[in-house]
Amino acid sequence: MLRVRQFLPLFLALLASSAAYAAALTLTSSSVDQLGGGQGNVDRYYVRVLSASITVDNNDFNNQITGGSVTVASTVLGTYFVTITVTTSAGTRTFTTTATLSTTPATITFTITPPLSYTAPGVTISVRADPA
Amino acid sequence: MRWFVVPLLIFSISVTLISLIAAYSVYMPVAAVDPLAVKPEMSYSLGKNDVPLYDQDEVRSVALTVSVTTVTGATVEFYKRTSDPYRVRTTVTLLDSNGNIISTGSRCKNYGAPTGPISETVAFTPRVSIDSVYSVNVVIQRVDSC
Repeated sequence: MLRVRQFLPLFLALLASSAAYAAALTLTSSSVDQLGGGQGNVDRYYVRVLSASITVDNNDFNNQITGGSVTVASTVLGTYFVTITVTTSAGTRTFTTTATLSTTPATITFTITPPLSYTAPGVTISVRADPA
Repeated sequence: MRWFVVPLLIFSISVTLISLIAAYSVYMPVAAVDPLAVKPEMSYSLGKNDVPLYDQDEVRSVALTVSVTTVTGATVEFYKRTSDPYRVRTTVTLLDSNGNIISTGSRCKNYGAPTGPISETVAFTPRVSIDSVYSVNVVIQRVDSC
């Protein structure tokens, strides 16, 4: 009798633990279902840069690029790290920001420091967006 | 010492199961998974010419005209620096991920003597999806005839 009383708490604990474990498995199962479903349908995004422009310090031939603006959209709504790289034969400048992008274009204005000489044959503006 | 065994066992099992529950209960919604990048980047090349006293024009901006997802045309702004009346051919090319030209738009027009910013539009042939465009190149060139 003494032994039964001794092991009763253990038995009850095991019973409760089993119930909790079953509950945990149920939760897990639903999460796995969601995750599995999500992996099959992970969004794939395309960045759409619809315009690019530069601002210059003057209209002389030996002018410098001081900044500009780009119009950017993404096929998947979200917050993105946007990196704008401006390159001429004189060098490269990078501007980074965080922006919420969607299919509706957003204008991002940027400044580059120090200004970059706008040399022939021209300037390349690259815009990259990575999920934040 | 025997009295200590059962509580210790219960404690051990409880801690183990609580840890299991905590681990299994971690909720991972689909929204937490970052979208995959198919085309995370686009680039624009704006041309500038360096032929002294003849052609030192430079492109300042380009904006694509998009109908839903189809690129139909572009508006280019360039700065005319030489004070002669002359013809300028504006050419915009769209490139795919391999650098191949997939569409071109061009216009040639005679402009007056004044220097200053000029806005010009081109229409693309063929029309392509914006999602297939990885690079946009804009070239302006002074030409003798269109």
